[in-house]
Amino acid sequence: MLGLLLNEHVKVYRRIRTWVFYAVVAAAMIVAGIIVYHTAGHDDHLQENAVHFLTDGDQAVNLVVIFAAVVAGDIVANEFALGTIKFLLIRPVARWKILLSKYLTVLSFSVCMMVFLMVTAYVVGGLFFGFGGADDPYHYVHGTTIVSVPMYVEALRDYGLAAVTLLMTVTVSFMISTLFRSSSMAIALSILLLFLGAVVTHLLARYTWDKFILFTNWDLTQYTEGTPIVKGMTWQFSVVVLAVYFIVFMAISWLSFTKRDVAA
Amino acid sequence: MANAVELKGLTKRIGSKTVVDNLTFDIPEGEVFGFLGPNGAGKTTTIRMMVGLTSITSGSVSIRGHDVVREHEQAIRQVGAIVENPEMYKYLTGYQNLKQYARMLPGVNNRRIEEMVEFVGLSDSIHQRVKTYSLGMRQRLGLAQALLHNPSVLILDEPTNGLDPAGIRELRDHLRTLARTQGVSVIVSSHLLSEMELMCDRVAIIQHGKLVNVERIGDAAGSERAQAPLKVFVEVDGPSQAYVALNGFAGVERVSVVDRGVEVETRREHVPSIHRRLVEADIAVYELRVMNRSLEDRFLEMTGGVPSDARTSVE
Ligand SMILES: Nc1ncnc2c1ncn2[C@@H]1O[C@H](COP(=O)(O)OP(=O)(O)O)[C@@H](O)[C@H]1O
Ligand SMILES: [Mg+2]
Repeated sequence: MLGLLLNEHVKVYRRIRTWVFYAVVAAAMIVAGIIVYHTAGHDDHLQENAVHFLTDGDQAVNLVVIFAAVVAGDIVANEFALGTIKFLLIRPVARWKILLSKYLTVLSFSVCMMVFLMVTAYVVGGLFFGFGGADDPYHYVHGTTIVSVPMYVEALRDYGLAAVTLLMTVTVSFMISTLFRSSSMAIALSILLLFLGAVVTHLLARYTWDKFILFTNWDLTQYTEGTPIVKGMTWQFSVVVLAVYFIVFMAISWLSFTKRDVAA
Repeated sequence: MANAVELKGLTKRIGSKTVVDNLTFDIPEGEVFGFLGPNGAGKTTTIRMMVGLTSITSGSVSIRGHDVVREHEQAIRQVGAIVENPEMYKYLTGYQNLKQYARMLPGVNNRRIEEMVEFVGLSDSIHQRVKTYSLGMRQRLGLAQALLHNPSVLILDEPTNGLDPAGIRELRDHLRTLARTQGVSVIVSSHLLSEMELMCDRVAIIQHGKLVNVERIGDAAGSERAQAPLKVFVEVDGPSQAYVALNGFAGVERVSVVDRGVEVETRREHVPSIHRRLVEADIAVYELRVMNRSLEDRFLEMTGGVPSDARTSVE
């Protein structure tokens, strides 16, 4: 299994594309830093700091989600597109192990990208506005009360909840990649869902079954800041719905990878 | 000799079409065995089933006694293969590509990789990206990949694609070496008879997914060999003189004049006396070549082709 994981990591990190993704994330944070530095007034400057900048940096998570969805959408389909799948599957290794090593590699890439984004945001914010400020209070409205938490808690929670959307998006992309054996379809569909999902779910909010839709549930920030999309939804409910979707997506990937003929 | 590979009633249906129809044959240890058939005959599909890439509709394949479906890992451990084109990760070097497969096979170390690189003659370019390789180089890399784990069954689908004549001869020598010295059973597919005749001990002719015949090539033993019907091409200055000298001569069943010589149907045992007869008749012989027409005729007949050297009979 370690050999398989190493193989998949080699295939991801030997591609120039992967390093372009990292460069784009770093560049985006630097540009954001410059813009904030020049537009914010002097008063704001005093409040701005590394952790605050990091908290605002969660806007860039979508960039990570897109790049991770590209890797997820490519990792199975590209083997079919290249034809290398034939060399891959004629080994004394069970097909499910190969699939699992690919999925774990997608997760590892996603986590690395996310951590890279956070570190870059923190460092850029620190260089422009000074490090520190981790314990500054952050205020937000929850229901009818105003809650106050340390800034770093808010930052970690933002990224943690964004990671849920990231996980579900790459899993969808991975499933489409395995099912249709087409990278472009997997990448296009999963990014489309990422952006259209929120629109769709708000349009359908008056129907009760809207609460069972994936996109209604995968943004868990609705339970920390703001209000649930469908009245009466709880975070426990959303977690259960997401878990069910996750299991279904994995089952579809598993079945289509281990049972179907390879005609590439 | 023990059978390395056994196919029993192997069948594949895709939709309502029977792509491979009830193939049954055995391949012993140390034999170079060919699948010969026109494009679309079902060679690749048969190979896909043999290595477990495609499910089997009915029948079975066993490799060294292991059923490829029920005991997939034990069976596939014995097999090295290239199915259709040798597709590689183009952005990796040849060496990194081999490394990928080495990590999936027990007991393949860097030394073994280097040995195989040398064996297929890629030492000079193994650290270049595969992007820069020709098809012939990728065939070589594919062969190295297939041999990494020292398999006892080697399956190559159209391995001569992209090879130049020298490359084909070299491949043939490699395959013979593996078969003779290590007892490897080699299965090659091709739609070209001439290549099969060069490489194989036996050839299965496949058309429309069905087995037409299994033929032994060339070296049948002893009296069987002496009696084997042959066609001999003789290149001479005066084909008509040669025709006169050989027509009705002992052991000659039929002579015909062809471009730059004559073609003689006879038996192997009569070839020396035919040669002597021509020399005695003072006819300069430039070349005397045995053409194993029987297989070619059958192959052309079934594939609906015409012989390249259409005969002009003088009778
Ligand atoms: N996945 C598939 N779906 C439908 N038909 C197929 C499929 N794969 C192969 N075939 C058909 O099966 C036949 C045999 O194909 P193949 O095994 O590739 O032949 P060969 O390798 O001898 O050229 C062809 O007629 C081809 O069209
Ligand atoms: Mg073929």
